Amino acid sequence: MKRLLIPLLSALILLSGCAPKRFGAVYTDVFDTFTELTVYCDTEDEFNACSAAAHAELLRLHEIFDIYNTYGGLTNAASLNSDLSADCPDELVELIASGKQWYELSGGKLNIALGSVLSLWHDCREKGVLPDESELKARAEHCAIADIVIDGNNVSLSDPLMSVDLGAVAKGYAAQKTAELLTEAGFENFALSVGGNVITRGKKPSGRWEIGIEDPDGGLLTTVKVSGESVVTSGDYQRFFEVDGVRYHHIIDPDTLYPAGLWRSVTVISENSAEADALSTALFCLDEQSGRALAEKISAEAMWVAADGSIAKTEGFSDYEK
Amino acid sequence: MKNKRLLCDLLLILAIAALAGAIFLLTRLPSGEEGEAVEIRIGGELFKVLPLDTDSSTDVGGLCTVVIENGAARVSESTCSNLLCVNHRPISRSGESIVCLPNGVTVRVSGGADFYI
Amino acid sequence: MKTSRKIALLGLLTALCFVLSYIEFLLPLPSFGVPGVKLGLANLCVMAALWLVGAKEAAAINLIRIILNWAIFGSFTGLLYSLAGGFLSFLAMLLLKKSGRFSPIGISAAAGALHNVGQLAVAMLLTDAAALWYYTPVLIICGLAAGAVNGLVFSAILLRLQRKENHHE
Repeated sequence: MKRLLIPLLSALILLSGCAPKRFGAVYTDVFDTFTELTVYCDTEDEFNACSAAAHAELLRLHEIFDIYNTYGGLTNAASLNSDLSADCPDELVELIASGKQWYELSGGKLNIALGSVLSLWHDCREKGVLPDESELKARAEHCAIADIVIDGNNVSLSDPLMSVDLGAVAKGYAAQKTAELLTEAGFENFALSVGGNVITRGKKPSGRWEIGIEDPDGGLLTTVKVSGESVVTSGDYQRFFEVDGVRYHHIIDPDTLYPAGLWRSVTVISENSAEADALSTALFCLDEQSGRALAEKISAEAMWVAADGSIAKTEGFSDYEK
Repeated sequence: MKNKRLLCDLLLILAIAALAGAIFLLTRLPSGEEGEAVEIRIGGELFKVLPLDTDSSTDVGGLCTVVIENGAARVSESTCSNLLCVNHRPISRSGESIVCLPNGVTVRVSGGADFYI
Repeated sequence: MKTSRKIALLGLLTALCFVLSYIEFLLPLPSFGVPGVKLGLANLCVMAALWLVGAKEAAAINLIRIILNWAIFGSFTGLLYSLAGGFLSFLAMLLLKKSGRFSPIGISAAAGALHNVGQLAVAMLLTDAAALWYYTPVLIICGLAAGAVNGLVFSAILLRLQRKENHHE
């Protein structure tokens, strides 16, 4: 018995001594949202290095995809929108190219060329008024995805009145890139949430990462457990404004030019955070049947919460709830 | 001969008991803290997640009623035959659970999530 | 053992097995707040068959016991639980007895523990596995204790039965 006990005890002591510690940081200056990093590593110095690297990468990507500000000599989404043609950083070209692919995949429901319409909604949200319908329709004339032309690193917008808006895809892409950077730097167990775009790597000492999915009516709907996957929710309760007691949220259906009304929220679990972000926006505007087909096509799992509170899930979604 | 067999018996029983002890340590020790929510499942499929800090009473698909009071969850009524779930003491610590096998209903306390989205 | 005597004994054991199941059904044990805690008296008959007749015959009695129980008291899920528990515990008895190192007490104790492990495994498949891990240690210990008690009783029975058999032959 003793022969067994001593190695067992020493193993326990060793394990507890080496158990990685949990560290966390929050950034509020990227992607106009709340970003949270959680890392399991051995020392605080290690974590500080990790956090600094993540923050720098997020800031860099934030500047590239920013449509409101320009940053000196950097060509970014904002400068592209005003100059109409520019040699762009690799990340901007890659995200715009993937945006064009998502337009095809989603049957036009995810449109990064919708900038002129979205900026009108954005301005109206700030003022708390509804956009003028004829103005919306006039702007919708300048949202053709084919007018974004990519040639090598050169991107040009052939319609001078159009603008690119990467809001639906940038956060997921940034989370993906930042996670790749941290993995390369040798961090194995961390999770990053860029405004609700959660990407996970490895796991916690106690098991998989747990992500609580909020009920659109308040409270918690479910908890999904992931290790390596990304989770994102698009919901009508996340960003909205009210006019005469009616809620207008931030996900605009390109076909109606008004907030999509099919779902209260859509949650996506996928291997890739950029894909998860894009898919959740696309699914939010698509009916269940087309949505299921699209989710299956890119092997993602999804959960839909309908206006009446009823819930639909892809077959594999419940596996993450166990 | 006989004594040797009894010694073997004893070792076998101790080994199995040690296994049970190991499972006990693995499943209960890491999560002794108060939980944040309970997950209610029917046949393994998630039915509802309820926060422990809000008193509530929930009908679980007509099979039983889960009541949350003073930060603990219990089953107040059940259609099952043995009513073990109803007689189970209230649960509040992470990892604790009430199982109603006849109805396939499980109520398990979970700790907080890492992120809420 | 003569065939006619064997048939009579097996019939008797099957009937007794059923009576013991019924007694247990009438007098449930305190449950310790855990589902599925039982003494498992019916296993005494399966053990008697295993020790006095043979593995095949004991397995048959075990199966008949489970099916009869299901037909009279149980539900289909109940049948799945009993089959898994019955199969695992029987396998344990067979292997441990074959090894020749253990007395009926140890064998029965292990069988009791494994019976509950089998039932838990089915419950884990059918419901929430994480919730059931919580019960696993208690159920293993209960099975172990119930099995050990059964084993003690069976050792006493076995002595008398063997004496009787010898007397007849």
